[in-house]
Amino acid sequence: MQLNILNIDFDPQLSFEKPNITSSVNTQNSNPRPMNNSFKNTSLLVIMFILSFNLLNAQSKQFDTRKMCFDFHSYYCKFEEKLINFDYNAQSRSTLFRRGETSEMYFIAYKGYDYRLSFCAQEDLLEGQKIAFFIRNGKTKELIYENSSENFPQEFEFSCTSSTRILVEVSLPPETGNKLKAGNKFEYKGCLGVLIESRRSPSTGFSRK
Amino acid sequence: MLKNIRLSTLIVSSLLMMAMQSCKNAETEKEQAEETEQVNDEQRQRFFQIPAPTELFELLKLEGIKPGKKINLNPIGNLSKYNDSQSKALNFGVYTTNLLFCSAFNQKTEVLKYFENLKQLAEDIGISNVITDQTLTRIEKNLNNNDSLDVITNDVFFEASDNLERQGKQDVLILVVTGSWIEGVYLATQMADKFNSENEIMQRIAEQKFSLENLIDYYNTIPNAEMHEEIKNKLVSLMDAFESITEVQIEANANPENGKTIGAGSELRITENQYIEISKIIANLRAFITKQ
Repeated sequence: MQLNILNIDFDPQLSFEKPNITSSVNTQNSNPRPMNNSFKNTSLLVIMFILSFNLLNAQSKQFDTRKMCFDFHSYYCKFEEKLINFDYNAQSRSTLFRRGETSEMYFIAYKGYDYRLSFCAQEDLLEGQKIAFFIRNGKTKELIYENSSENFPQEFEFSCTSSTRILVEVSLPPETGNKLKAGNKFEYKGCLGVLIESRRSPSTGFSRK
Repeated sequence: MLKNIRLSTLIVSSLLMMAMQSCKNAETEKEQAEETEQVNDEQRQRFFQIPAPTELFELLKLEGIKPGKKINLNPIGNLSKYNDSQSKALNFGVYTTNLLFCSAFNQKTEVLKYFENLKQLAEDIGISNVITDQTLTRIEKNLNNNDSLDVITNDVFFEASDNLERQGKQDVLILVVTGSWIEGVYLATQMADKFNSENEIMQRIAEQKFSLENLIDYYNTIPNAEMHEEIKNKLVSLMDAFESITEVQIEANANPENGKTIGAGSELRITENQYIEISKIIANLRAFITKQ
């Protein structure tokens, strides 16, 4: 999995400043007081080290952990049954998630197509539990399906009989386990993904009232 | 003496560094606490997904609909008109849909031309790594293999979207998606010769209402989206036209393998006047975007 942590851009000023400091040290070499000179050299090196350390820290803070999860679903969400002829649907989505949180995803399902949704998350986020999800009509919010009614399967498959906007609500129960007991002040955050796959329905046929 | 001075300097520096780090940790904790509080307040993240233009083209192909007349793709030569960042992003989306259209409907000679335009615009919007000479080589090798060509051109679209999102360029991505979606619907209206209520393409155009709802809601989630207010307002006007389409009750006779069906109950039914009005607005919006 490609992680964006590799894409951190370091400030070019950081590398640019080094020759300047070296240059000033060289200038100091002409100073007739060698002890003071060594002291200054050491001090400069230490200051440079401290500044570099803090600059690196500042840079790493710019890294957005949300980007880490970007295509999590492509690698970790797998439908249990190996069915053929389903294609990846670009409406799939992953996000950074924390326990106790709820996410909403609206996607479009077209008439005459079968869809399967696969849900997955990092093990540390799940802590042995399963993702709860609700499928709703995107317009009326009417509940169509909830996986708690079937012992929390982590996938859902349906045929779309008229094109519609669908709302998928995903949630995880709040953190109550070992992590909080261990004194962690903040909830654990991890990646959660919804993989959408689709195919032309094998059988269709509708009549109008 | 020298050693003592060095030792003292190092000790003082270390203490200074520890103090700075301690302050930084306190600051980080404070930020995390504020962040947690903010998430607790909102509790919900919302995502609005838009189908790729290929999905619409696939639907039309499966219904046996082909480009019956000369389709008015955005001319290659228009590239020089796109000098500001907004029009570059919008027309990256337009040209991407043109590329996907050429690939889907077997217009091979056009594929390479549109690819060149995309390469130029990709550099301008900061995703030059998506469209490389290697991609061009893959396309050239697979010009006679429709399935592979579809996969490669789709990859270009997916990779471009992914790359913009990874870079946090949501404000650019939404313009790319807008240009791409408008061009897809515009080409669909071009493929429909004239209104025919029994023609499946009319139904598919009406269904674009759902994608437009998601697109407008997507604009509402983008920070600094006010800079795209003009284009968003045009989409809202288009939505007004789509809102006039009525929903009719249908009875589903489908018998899917796994039992679950969604959507049974109603279907959009577009009239000739609504179709003409929507086509007109889309054509105007497309002309605005492509500067024609």
